[in-house]
Amino acid sequence: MNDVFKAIADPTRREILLILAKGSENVNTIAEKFNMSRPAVSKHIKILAESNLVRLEQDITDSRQRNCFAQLEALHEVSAYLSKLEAFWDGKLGGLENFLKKERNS
Amino acid sequence: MNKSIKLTKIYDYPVEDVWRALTDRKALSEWLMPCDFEPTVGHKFRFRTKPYPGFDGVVNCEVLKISENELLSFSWSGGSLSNTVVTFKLTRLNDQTRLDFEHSGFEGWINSIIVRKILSNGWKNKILSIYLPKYLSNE
Repeated sequence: MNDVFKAIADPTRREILLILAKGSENVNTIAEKFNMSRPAVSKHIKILAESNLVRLEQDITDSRQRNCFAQLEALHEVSAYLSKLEAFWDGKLGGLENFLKKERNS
Repeated sequence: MNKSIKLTKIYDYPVEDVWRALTDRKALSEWLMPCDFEPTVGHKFRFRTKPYPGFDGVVNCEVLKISENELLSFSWSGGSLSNTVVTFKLTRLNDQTRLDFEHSGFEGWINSIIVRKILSNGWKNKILSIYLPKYLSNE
């Protein structure tokens, strides 16, 4: 799970997520909605898949088609990251108190 | 709308002491992380700490605002974060100092937009119903 931030920072990828939030779509249908080449859209989908925001599955009825599903559980990672960062700062700011004490006494 | 980390601390030391700890390179290197900070707007500096998988241990920063004994803010780019902003705001309380700390710019609003859209589309998913309200409540 890496770079959810990076994955959702791009407007095209956010748009893809919004489309998928309404329901799964196949890669071609998604590509048709954008004013860019299919490979370019595929690349965005690949980045979303790599950050676990999107899951790709082969279509049961047509093996040439791949369906995309949004996996927003990955956003939990964002939340977990922020919690960790908050704990980091809380620890450091607590350490600042100790530092001030030490300076005062030295 | 921005999601941010906010912490408030009261220190039993005068504002000048806290300010020195925030803006002196040696002090900052000791209580926060080793760095080459200089108290000048536009100064680019780095914090270096132990790397771990997914983080090379370097945080690139630039001093954005500095107002003696009152406010220090710098950009913070490292790991998966880019151009987030760290702000220390000091308030004198007699012999004590109140610190209002904020780390902001996490693109959290993007999440919120996605989240709200998803919720409004009646997405039924246990995970979403547990995690996403947490997001919204932390705006």
